[in-house]
Amino acid sequence: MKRRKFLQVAGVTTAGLAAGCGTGEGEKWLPYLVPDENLVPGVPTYYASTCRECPAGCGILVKTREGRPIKIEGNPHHPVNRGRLCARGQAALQGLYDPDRVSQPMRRQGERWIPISWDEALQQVSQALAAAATSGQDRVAFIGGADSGPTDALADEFVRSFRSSRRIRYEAFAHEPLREASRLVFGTASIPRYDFGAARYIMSFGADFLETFLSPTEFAGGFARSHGWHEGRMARFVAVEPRRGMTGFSADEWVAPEAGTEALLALGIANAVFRQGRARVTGGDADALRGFLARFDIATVSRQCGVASDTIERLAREFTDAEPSLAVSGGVALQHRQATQLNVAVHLLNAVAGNVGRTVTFPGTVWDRLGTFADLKGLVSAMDAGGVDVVIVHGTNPAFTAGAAGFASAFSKVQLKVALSSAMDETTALCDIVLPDHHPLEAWGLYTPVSGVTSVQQPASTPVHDTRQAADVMLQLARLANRTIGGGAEDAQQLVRRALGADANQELQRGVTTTVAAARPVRLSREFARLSFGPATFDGAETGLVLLTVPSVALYDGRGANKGWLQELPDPATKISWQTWVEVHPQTAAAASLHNGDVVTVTAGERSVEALVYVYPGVRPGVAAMPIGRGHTRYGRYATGGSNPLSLLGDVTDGSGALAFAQLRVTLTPTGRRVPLATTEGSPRQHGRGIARLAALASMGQAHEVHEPFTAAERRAIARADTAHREARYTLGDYRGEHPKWEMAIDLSRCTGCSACVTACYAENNLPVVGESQVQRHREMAWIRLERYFEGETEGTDFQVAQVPMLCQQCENAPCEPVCPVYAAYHTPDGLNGQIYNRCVGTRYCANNCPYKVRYFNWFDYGSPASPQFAFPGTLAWQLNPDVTVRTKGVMEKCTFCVQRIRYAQNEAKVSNRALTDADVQPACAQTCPADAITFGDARNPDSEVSRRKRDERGYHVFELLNTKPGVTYLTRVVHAEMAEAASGEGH
Amino acid sequence: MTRTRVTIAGGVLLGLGAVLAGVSLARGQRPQAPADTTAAQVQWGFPLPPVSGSGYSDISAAVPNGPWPELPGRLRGPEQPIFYRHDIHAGQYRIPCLYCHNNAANSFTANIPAVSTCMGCHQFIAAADSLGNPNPEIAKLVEAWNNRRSIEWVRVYKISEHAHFPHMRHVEARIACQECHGNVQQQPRVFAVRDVNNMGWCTNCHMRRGVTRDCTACHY
Repeated sequence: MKRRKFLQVAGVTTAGLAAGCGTGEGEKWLPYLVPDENLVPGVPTYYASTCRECPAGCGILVKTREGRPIKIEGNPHHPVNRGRLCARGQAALQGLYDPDRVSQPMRRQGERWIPISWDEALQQVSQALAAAATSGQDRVAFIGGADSGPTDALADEFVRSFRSSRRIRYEAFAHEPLREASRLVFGTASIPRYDFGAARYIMSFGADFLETFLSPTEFAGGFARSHGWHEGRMARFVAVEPRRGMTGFSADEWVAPEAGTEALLALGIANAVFRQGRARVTGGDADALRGFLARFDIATVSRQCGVASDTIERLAREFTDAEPSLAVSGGVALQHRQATQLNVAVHLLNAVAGNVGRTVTFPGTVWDRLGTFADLKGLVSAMDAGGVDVVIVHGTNPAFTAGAAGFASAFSKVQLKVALSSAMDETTALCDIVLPDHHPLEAWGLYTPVSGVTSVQQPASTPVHDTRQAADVMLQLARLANRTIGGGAEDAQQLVRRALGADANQELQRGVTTTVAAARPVRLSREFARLSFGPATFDGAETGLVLLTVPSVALYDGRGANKGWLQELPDPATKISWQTWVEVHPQTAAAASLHNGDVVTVTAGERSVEALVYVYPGVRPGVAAMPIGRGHTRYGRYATGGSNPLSLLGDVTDGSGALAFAQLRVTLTPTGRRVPLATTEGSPRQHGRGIARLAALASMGQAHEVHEPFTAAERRAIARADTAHREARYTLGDYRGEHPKWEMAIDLSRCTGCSACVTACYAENNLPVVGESQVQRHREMAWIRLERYFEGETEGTDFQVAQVPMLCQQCENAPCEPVCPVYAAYHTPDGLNGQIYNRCVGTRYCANNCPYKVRYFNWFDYGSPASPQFAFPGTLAWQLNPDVTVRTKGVMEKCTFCVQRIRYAQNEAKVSNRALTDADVQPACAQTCPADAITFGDARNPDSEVSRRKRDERGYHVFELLNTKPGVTYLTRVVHAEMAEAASGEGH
Repeated sequence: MTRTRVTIAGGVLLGLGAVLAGVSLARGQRPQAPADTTAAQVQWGFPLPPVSGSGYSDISAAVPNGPWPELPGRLRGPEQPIFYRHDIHAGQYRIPCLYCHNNAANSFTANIPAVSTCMGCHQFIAAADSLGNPNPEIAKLVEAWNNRRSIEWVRVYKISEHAHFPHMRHVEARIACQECHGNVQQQPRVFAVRDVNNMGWCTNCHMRRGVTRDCTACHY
């Protein structure tokens, strides 16, 4: 560690690792040499930056303490995410502090990596670059990820300065078919921007827009605005996909066409729109479209897709009745041989419904400039033919995601392979030299996800290791090779400041600049008509199951796999963590006598991977689904579990040159082994307990029978006991004073199940990652979890999925409190269930008595560096929140509504002599919720937002019958379906 | 079943009340907070009467620019890399605590002053004492500063990591630093006058002053 760093981090306070009555004897204080004006020990400093975990480009505020980033929150000024963040964004910190990060430049010698100096490494690379440039055109290649702004331009310039044009912005999920479809239908090769907030009817053809598709945090906010029940109105959402994932859980209706026929269904619906005379196109376009769509006769489409013609007619009617509506497509799971056709069909559907220019616009996005899979294949064949001497890979891992292109073998033929990467992933492992890159939280940049939004990226931390930002390395390499790029800029900081101009500091403080960019108007092009439309084909025997490889909400394309928080985050659909599963329909499973946890070999031709069976009613019979992201061979200690379904894929593309992620039929062969699933799922059904309630839209506003669990006599007895209870408390401490009553309201009509709250809680509250074997024993430590229940008959597609975030309910009448023999669990004057870790002796009576199962026991010493279960190895411990005690073995822990934030805000308010308001305190879960489903505040104030939501007619408490008087009020989810009566249990 | 639980809950809490009643000092009436210390006392930081004893200097006669207070027969507390004398700085010269430990007023943590804070004065108060004798201790400071090196002070007080002590709240409430840290202005070498992790000390004061005794005020 460098001295400067040591001074900075050793600062004045330490994140407590070992809780105990240490006297501090022998500990050293290292004061700053000169105090930093932005840094008061014990007071957080925030830096505005941009999340680079996916191309969406959300704005973030990085909370630092004593110079270390400890938490990431959304930037409320940012137009993309409006202050919210998904689980992957929350977990970016674990990338920064990854214990397996490459900490210095290294050179590969066989299988070993030898540390070298920066000077030596840069010399060697610059010489190779100069030599390659001398020997001919295009002998240098640069493979990076999505980027924009000055660093992006610099990479282009860098490659050009070595006489090459081989630069690819490679993203595994580049959505090329959607871009190509825009070109074919509207004449602009651009990824559209969708306005979910304005849509009154949403139809998704396999686009997982709440999980990984384009900009999920932005979409979740819009979706919650339109689809969340509000004063009697809500949009309707129909999911059209052979597998219903987390996004589909929010759907009011699931239409499951035969896999590969979604395009035909969309065209059938568009045809029905015309035939019903509802099309909103006029003139020549109308005639051309009518003629084209007439080819997709509804009866034929119905037969091909396995969807009733009535349904097609009805969907057409509903879709055009609602104005505006929105159809989306382009999800990776449905990227099959007909993916371009599917996206064309959905564009046409939007066009005939008049949505283009309203909910679908084309302002230009960062995805527009991404390379395609075909571009990567072009480079692969050039490398294979020996046409490339030096390849630089930055921030992308094609060896993992592009196995189908034969990347690894061609890559190894290149003379000098350089990784500008901070992780030893599969691609880096193939390289000859690794020049470790800054983490995005240490780097400079300007990122424009959508035209008009310029998001600033600035370091929130001095480099954790001896790393350099890729742009700086490029500038240095060019300088060594006597080339001038970047206008002679010294470093990336200068590039960014130059681009920001005179107001740079204000821009850096605000984090984002927004200008109104007029969306480009589009007109219908006729080019799409030359495509041939038909069902997508899948390789393999007809009897096999169509394999859908599904992007993971936690791991994205696999880049999240080195982060313990994301590995341990239960998949929202299956509730499995750490493992790779294969979803099969109950009928398929019964026919092959497969059960949960059976280890099967998933075989496609010559290739096979192993996976655990998960019997799942959300896939069509005849379809198997596997999550993308696990099965790394490298990439750190957390990444190597599970298997990688992408390794099954062959080099098959669709019309746009995109990899067909769905291209295979596979067979599942039991191996005879069975492994317990690392699942947090208890029962998939509620058994009438009324935990996650649904109500039909039609029933809203009507007087319904209020179920009163107690008799009048019982109510009187309870009231007497409550009064006595309260009076008894008044004799203690300061219970009698004026206190706020902290409560929470969770609107299930907005909650999508995305689980961002879970990861935010891990980050804020120092929750340990316990690993697969402990999750298998149900010893996970997530203080907030998403429970997922199926409602209705799951044989077919006509079922609903109820989800509920479950956290400590902060009961006023808490069953956990009276059973604690040492008063570690007690009630605070401001209405929390306090949990005092240093009092707890670990009897676990409280957990036994908790009806909500929200108390978690430390079976091991996760916080002690000496323990084999130590959960914060290496620099991961730097992320620990110094405001929260790290719990020791034998201690019960649970959610306390982020009491450290409440106390901090109270202290701040008191010191600055003002009243505390609800805006001052937000628990981590409420802060990050992309759908704004969670409201927190003082319920004693009748005007607070939480009081308002509490009074909502949909409000209910889980297990009301137990008279626990929870401080968490849930608001029933309203669905369009007619089935809701059966689903909303009333608690018995 | 539910009703039973309610009764049990009430019963146990009543019991808890009785238990705590035994240790509560003045239940039923608000205990009187100690008379406010005067602003001057807080500023000069001498709210408590002088103490004599092992480890303390006598500063009753000390005046700025006069001779230094005499060292007591025995020094207590850990040896520090620089023999920084609080009895000279805070006692004889009456530099307020918050001049150096300024973050105590706005943060949970009271800072150890940065080396630049020391140098703010010692640019001018050179590495020699008032009689012109070379002062090796100030020389160490200047040497560290010139070499851009921090000073490894040995920690004296440490609150356990499961307790969170907001210094700023206590400064804001005009609690003198000496209430917890003792008469530092008489300590040539700082020593722990008490175990700050003795929770009884905290709660007694909180009870005397009638302020919160809620566990989660400190423990979370």
